[in-house]
Formats: sequence, structure tokens, C-alpha cells
Amino acid sequence: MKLRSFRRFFVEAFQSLGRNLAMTIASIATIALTLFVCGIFTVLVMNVDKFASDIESTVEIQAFIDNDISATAAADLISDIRGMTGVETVTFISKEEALANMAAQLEETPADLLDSLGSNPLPDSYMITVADPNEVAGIAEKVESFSGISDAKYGEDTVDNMFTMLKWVRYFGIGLIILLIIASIVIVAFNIKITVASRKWEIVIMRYVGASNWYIRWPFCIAGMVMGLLGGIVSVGLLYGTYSLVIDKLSSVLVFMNLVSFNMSFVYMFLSMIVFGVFLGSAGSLLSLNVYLKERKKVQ
Amino acid sequence: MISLQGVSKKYDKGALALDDITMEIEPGEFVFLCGASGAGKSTLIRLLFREEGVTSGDIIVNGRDLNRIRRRDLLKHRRAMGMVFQDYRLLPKKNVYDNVAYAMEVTECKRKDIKIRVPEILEVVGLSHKALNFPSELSGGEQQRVAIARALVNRPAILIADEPTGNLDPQNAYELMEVLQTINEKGTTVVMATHAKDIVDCMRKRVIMLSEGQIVYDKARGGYHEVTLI
Repeated sequence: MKLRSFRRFFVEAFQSLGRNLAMTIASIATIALTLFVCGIFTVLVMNVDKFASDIESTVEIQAFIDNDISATAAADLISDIRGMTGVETVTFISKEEALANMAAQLEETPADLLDSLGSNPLPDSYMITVADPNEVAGIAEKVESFSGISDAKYGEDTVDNMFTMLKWVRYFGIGLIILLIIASIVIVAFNIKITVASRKWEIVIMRYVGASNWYIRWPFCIAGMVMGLLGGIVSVGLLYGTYSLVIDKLSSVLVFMNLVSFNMSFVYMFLSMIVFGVFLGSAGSLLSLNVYLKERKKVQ
Repeated sequence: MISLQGVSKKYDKGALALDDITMEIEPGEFVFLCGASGAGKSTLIRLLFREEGVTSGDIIVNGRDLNRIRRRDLLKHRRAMGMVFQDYRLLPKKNVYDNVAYAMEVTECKRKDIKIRVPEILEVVGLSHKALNFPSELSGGEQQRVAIARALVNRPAILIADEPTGNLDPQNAYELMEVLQTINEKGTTVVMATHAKDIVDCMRKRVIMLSEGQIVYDKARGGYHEVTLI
């Protein structure tokens, strides 16, 4: 294909986009919506991911001490735990402190709580923080195996629930994204098909005078790419605006959740959205044109 | 130039459109392809243009075996053939000059070559003075001459005309035949499918008559009046 032909392809592409302005706008809007929803889900997954790892990083191991342990054994135990690789801090929490904490959570006084319980059922415990959240499970298991420790918990249920939720958000997001991608390719293909039908004689003549298939395809392909590019830019604008608003309005409400702020990942995501928009547009146009060229072959 | 050996074409529905056709057309010949509707003329043209493949037999055009032609050579093959249709197939939004130039643009000719060649070919078909007119401003005969100019602008070795006078009155048809005659005299092989008995009889060129997919008559300087005697 010669370079000078591309000037002509671009002129033809923009002419055809202008001639079918309503369909062009509909196609751009569909691509923009598809990419916007893809973007929203990506941002959602990024945030749930971050939330999960934030929770994981703040996870502490609570190791409950046997009631009948001697003071010497307790001292040995704390130094053994402190000596473990990956353990950052070990804090002793007496059964009285534990009762006070529980009473505070239940908004009662420790004395009232003790009255209703009869005696303090809570054991002494150690609060252990670890350097690497990924090692929490392993360290908890080891601590539990020490003699004098009855149980070691780190909120594994909360973390597991979080990851299960993350998995379902991903599945749902991927399913919805696939459906939207198919919808936008079909709509772009439909738009280009209308354009192609309105120029069928031109295409027939092009074929009769020996134009190559790519010479016929390029103007339509460029039109699809332009629609995809514009759709991509619109979706990036929408996503940026929406997420800025979410950060602005929700960060003061959701104090426990630290939202992902704009960073390099967003730049890559925005660029990917635009590139993917161009891909959607060109795929839609080539699809409709190939079908059309095959049809013409059958008719003639 | 064009060689068909035992060519048959059968469609999916079972109809035999062409039945064991063998013929040779030499460079520079002017050949009328005659026959009633459904005789196989259009099928033969589609096979020559390689729009469709044969069911059996061999077709060689300009030295290319159309049964074994590669995709890249198919373009060269089509560029070496000019096509003219009964319904002209001009682009209504382009003027005469642009309609003709279009055939050169899509084959990616240089702009300076287009500027030289298009006026030349408009001169041949006698439409230099209408270069800036649009198809809707031309008579049927003039539109068909634009179609011929477009078919010839890339200097094809063969011109195939499918019922080119079908929509023309006798005067315009006669003028068109003069143009085709001139083109043929300049060396282009002309194959014209037609029903027009008067034109065929008057031109005294080679006539190949098809009936039910078979050649029933093939004679240099032939005519319809002889066929009725067969």
C-alpha cells in the first residue's frame, strides 16, 4: 500500500463518519460506555485488592496462654516468641486487660461484666505483630505449637472472606466486560455496515477495476479506529471525573477504607483504555466489511 | 489471449450453466457473445473475470491459468481486464473526470500520470468537453462512454462489455459501437455480450452463440441471420 493513498483513506473515513453522524455518535457512546464500565470494575478491583492487603498488613496474632502456666514458663515463652524470625512485637495482655477491653466494646464497666459472668473467663494472651503479612499464617501455626499456648488466632475468616469477595467481584466484572465488548463490536460493525451498504457501488467498482481488498478496507478501518479513539478518550474523561468525585466525597465518609489514589497504574489503565477503544473500533469495522465482501462475492 | 478448454460450470442447485465450452480468442479480436437470457453469457463473463471458479475444464487469460491463480495475481488479472455493464455503474457524486480518474486512483497510479491519461481517454470516447459534468447531466450513451473510458483508463488488454447497449436508443447504441470499434482498432481485444441482433449483423465481427450453456455457433464475420438457418 502506497503512502499517498493514506491521505485519501483519511479523507474518506472522516467523510463517512460525518455522513452517518447519528450512528457515529451512537458507536462512540457505546465504546465509551464499554470502556468506562471496564475502567470502573478495574478501579473497584484495585480498591478491594488494596483494602484486602491493608487488612492483611494490620493483622495481629492473638496467642492465648494456658491458665496453669508458671511465671518462669511465661517469661521463657515470651522470649521464645520474640526470638522467632518475622515477629516484630509481642505485647502481653493480662486477663484483666482483656476483660476491660471486652467491657469497653460492650459499653459496660468491667465490674458489671464480671458480675454478670460470675468470674473472668478470658485467658492471658500475647498480641504479636509480624513484619510480612504473608507469613502471618505460618507464624500463627508455630506459636500455637508452643507448650503453654492454647490457641493462636489472626482473623483468618475475615481475610478469607475478603479474598472470596474479591474473587466474585473479579468474575462478575470480567463477565460484564465481555458482554459489553461484544455489544460494542456489534454496534460498531452495524454502523460500518450501514456506511458500506450506502457505498456498495463504489466497492463493486473498486473491485472491478482491480483495487486490493485492503485498499477497500482501509477507509472503513480508519473510521472504526477514529470512533474507538474518541470513545476511549471520552471514557477516560468520564472515569477520571467520576473517580475524582468518589475520592473527594467518600474519603471523609469511608475513613476505615483508604481509597487508591491516582498513580502510574491509572496512567497505564487510561492508555490501555484508549488503545483498546481503537482495537474495538477497527475490529468492528473489519468484521462488517469482511462479511460484506463475502456477500458481494456470492451475489456476483 | 483467452483460451477455454472443456469448461463446465454447475451451480449448487444443479443447473448446468456452461457445458463443455472450448474456444480461443486471439489478441485484437472483436467477439460478440450472443444468446438468449440464461444461455450462459453472464456466467462466462464471471468466469473470465474470475469472480467464480469453473466446475471442470481450464481457462487461461493473458497467460494466467485462472484455476491456479494466486491472490496477488488475481489483482493483476483484473487490472488487465476492463469491465463495462449495462447499467453503467458510475459514481453519481463524482464528475466525468473524477469517475474515470477513480479507476486509476484505486490502483494507486501517480497523480501526474492520472492528469495525463484521463484527458487522453476522454478524447478517445469523445467526452473531453463533458469532463466536468456529473453523470445525471449526461445522456445514456454518454454515461456508457464514461464507463468505457473508466474501463480503459488503466490500459487493459481486454475489454469485456456486458450488454453495453441494453439501455440505449439506436442512435446512442450506434455511436457507442463506433467507440468500441475505435478501441478495438487500437489493439484492445473486445468481448461483448449482447442481445442486439441489428448491431451484431451490422458489425460483421466474430459471433459466438450460446444456447443452454453450449456453443451452437462460432463464426468470424458472422451474424444472427445465419443462426436462424442452423
